[in-house]
Amino acid sequence: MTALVRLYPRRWRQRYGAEFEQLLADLTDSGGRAGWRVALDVARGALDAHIHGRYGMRRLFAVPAVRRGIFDGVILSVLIAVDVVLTNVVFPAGPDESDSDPEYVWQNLATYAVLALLLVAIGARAGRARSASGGRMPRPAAGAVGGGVAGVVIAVLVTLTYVVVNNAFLSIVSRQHDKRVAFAASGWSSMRAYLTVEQLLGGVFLVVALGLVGATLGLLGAAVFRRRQPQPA
Amino acid sequence: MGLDGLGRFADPAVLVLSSLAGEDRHGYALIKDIEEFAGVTLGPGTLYGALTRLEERGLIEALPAQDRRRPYRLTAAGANALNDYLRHARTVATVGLRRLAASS
Repeated sequence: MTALVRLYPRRWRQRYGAEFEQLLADLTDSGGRAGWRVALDVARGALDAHIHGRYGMRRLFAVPAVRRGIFDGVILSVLIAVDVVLTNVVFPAGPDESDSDPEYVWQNLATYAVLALLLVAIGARAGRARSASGGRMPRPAAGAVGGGVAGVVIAVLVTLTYVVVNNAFLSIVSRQHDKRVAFAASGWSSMRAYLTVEQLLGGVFLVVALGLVGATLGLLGAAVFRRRQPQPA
Repeated sequence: MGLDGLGRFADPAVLVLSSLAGEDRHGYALIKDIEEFAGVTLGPGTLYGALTRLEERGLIEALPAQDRRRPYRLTAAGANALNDYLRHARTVATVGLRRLAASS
C-alpha cells in the first residue's frame, strides 16, 4: 500500500512522503477501510496534488516558456480549427477529389511549411519570454519547451476539432473520397465510430510527433534568436 | 485568507481544523478523531489534501515528527478561520431549523 505514495509529485513526497507512508501503514495495521477504497482515495489525492497547490502543475504554469507555448498553441489551434471547418464543411472537396491529388499535396506541404515556421517563431518567443522574466532556464531549452508545448496543444486541439467536425457534420464529411475508401476497406460497420476511433488513435501519434517536432523547431528558433541579440559594447 | 476559495475542499478542511482545535494530532489520530466526533471517515488522500491546503494558508503548522508521525497544530489564523466558519454555519443552521419548524 505504501508504494502508492509514488503517485504523488516528487516535491510533495519530499515534504509529506514519510508521514504519509506511516499513515498508510497505520491504516493497514488497523484493518479499517477496504484496501481498494484507500487506494482509490490515495489516487484521487495524488491527482489533486498534481493539479492544484504549490507542489503540482501550478508550478509548471509558472514557467514563462510553458505559458508562451500554451498561449501560442491555442491561438494557432483556433486558426487551424477555422481552416478545418472551412475545408471540410463549408467548402468541402468534391466526391472524387483526393488528398493525393497534386493540387492538395502542394497545399498540404505549404501548410506544413507554414506550421514549421510558426513553431520556430514560437520557440524564439519562448526564449525571449524566458529572458524577459529573468528565468534561469537556458534560452534554447526555453525554446524547446515552448515549441514542444505548443506542438502538444495543437495536436490535442486539432484532434478534438476533427472529432467534433466528423461527428457533427458526418453527412458532409462522409462524402469525402479518402474517407469513403478507407472506411470501405476497414471492415467497420459504423462510419461515425470508425472516424472517431481513427481520429483519436491518430491523435495519440500526433501528440508525440508534433511535441517532438515542436521542441526541435522551437530549439532552433531560440538559437536563431540568440544569434540576433545585440552584443554589449 | 481563511477558508474562502477552498470550495468543495472546505468540508475536510473544517473537520481537520475542528479536530486540531482540541489538541495537536498526527494523520492517523486525526482520522480516528474525525470518525468519532463527525461520523465521517476521511481517506488518507483526502486528509493530506486538506492538510496541504491548510498548511499552505497558514491555518495549521507542522510540528517535529515523532517516529515518522508528524503532528499538526492549529495556528491563531486557523482558529479565527474556524471560528468565523462555524459562527456562519450556526447562523444558517438556526435560520433553517426555525423555518423548518414554522412550516411543519
